[in-house]
Amino acid sequence: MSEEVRKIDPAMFETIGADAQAREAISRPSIGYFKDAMRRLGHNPTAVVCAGLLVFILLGAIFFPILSPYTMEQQDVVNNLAGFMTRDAQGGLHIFGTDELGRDVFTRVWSGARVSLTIAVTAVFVNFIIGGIYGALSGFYGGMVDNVMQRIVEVIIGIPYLIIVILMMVIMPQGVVTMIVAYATVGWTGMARLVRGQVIQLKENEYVLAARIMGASASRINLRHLLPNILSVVIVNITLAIPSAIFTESFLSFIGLGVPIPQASWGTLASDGVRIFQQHPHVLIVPAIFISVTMLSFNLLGDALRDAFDPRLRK
Amino acid sequence: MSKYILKRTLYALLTLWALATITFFIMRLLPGDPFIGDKALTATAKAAMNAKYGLDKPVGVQYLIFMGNLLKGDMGLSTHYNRPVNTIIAQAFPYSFDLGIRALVFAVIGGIFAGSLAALYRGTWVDTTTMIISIVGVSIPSFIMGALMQYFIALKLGAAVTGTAFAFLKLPVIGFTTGKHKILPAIALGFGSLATLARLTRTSMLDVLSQDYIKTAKAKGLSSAAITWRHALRNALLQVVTVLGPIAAAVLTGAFVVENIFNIPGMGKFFVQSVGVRDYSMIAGTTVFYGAFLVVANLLVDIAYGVIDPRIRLSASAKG
Repeated sequence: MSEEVRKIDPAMFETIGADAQAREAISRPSIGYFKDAMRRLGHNPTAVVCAGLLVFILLGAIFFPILSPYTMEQQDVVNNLAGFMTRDAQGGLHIFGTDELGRDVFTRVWSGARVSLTIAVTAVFVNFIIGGIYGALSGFYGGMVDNVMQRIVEVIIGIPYLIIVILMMVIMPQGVVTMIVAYATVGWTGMARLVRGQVIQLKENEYVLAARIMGASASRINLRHLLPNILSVVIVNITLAIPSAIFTESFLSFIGLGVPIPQASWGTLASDGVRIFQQHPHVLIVPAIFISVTMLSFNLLGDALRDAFDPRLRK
Repeated sequence: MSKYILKRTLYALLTLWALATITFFIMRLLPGDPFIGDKALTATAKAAMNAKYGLDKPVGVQYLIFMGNLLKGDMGLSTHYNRPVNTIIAQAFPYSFDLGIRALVFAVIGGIFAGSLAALYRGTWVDTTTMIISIVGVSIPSFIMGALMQYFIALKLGAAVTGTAFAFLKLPVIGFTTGKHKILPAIALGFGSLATLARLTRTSMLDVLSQDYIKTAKAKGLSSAAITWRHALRNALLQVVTVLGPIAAAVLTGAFVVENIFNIPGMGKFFVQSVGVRDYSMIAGTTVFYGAFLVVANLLVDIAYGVIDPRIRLSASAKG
């Protein structure tokens, strides 16, 4: 071994010197915080699979009801309660079978996806708007304003939200909008607390002071300087709030407060399925799998996003 | 300490008042009157009812009467069952309580056990399996869980073991009479909470295990059992106590559907039925009752938390 080492000739090397300028140059393009987080997310196989599944469900909800040869209410009276992959008289395929009225489960579950996802995503987004504004005001102004606003939140949080949602659903006409309104009435408190905490932490930073000195208005500081900085926390929170909104929707539908007939959501489909699933399990299992897989994907994606955004986990 | 308890109690009362007020006004927003039910009342009976619940008076007075009746524990008359709401609640609540406590015990013990195990064996297959089960558990609504268990465990497994040595594994599909009847509903109701608690316990436990005092305990030569029990678990559980309020709420509201699926004559079943027939006084009564129950549960959790962890009550009283 040592003989080999001795054979190395110094003439093989060449002095290139140290260039102070070149040493300072950034050899790779710099990566922003979000880009970096997304890159890390892309390396997480669970996250990629979940994101893929969610995109598939979203696209499916948009296109499958249109592409399907059946409509939601169309009845195939000969083949009611047919199992998976049953062919109808015209040779059309009931991929997920039919329900007790002979309606195509495949078409119904994808139409249900439209309703359920619309409700869940809109409700969570509305919660983010209300909660975000409330929390930002509370955290930004502090003092007495904050005190009063937080006491109100504490009282609202104390009321079990599902009970208030049920009460509101009882008095309003059933439908998608009602569901969103009911959920948004009480659902924003968590987001308000989160945003308030973040704003209180961030508003003491120098860049906020600088913006204030330059005469930026409160709304400009909040939107231009604070919002981008809390966005990561908010995105994680929204991702994790969607499954709970999906759950609430299906729960309400299940107890008979869902979207009215002839509309269908995953919850109403599951609720219809429960009545007859002991004889015909596929009518329940299809919407159940859709609900669970969607909730699972959002939950796993939310966890992955949290890991991706959390700088403490950086290697 | 007394200041902390007083403050929490004050909040609880305020919440209760807000809940009762919201319920009152929502019920007053309804078209018609509470006595338009499926059982028609005679004009005299209706007048008597209106007089009893003060519905012939202005809204302000009605509100005072409603509050007064609530304080006396009178929640009105169910138009669907034609019985006082109080009687129905007194009859149905024990079933719900029985089921709820079973589910809660299952969730708390199972969740803390699974979560600690996952944290102690971090990165091994124990951790992975537990976390997969719990994320799946968080993602399956209790009514689907209940229905699937009825099908696969009570029906399919039940049919498979009938006549074999494992016949004792056969569980009834619905009903709530014997201990065997209560197993599936309690699991269906508690599983989501178990999963939530397992995830939380794991995070909290991992946090505690990386603390310096655990290192100190190890350096002192304490056995790993002593470290786990006396140092890690105790501190990790502080975090877990905070979610017991929301967990209780989840179990209570989850019971609405689980009771329906398993045909248990509890409050959830009555509540869902009263929603179905728009039995307004029953809805209002159960709402206030549920709300009060949860607010009190939350209050007890808050106070317990203050007792267990002095830092909480100190920071709370320092704030104001």
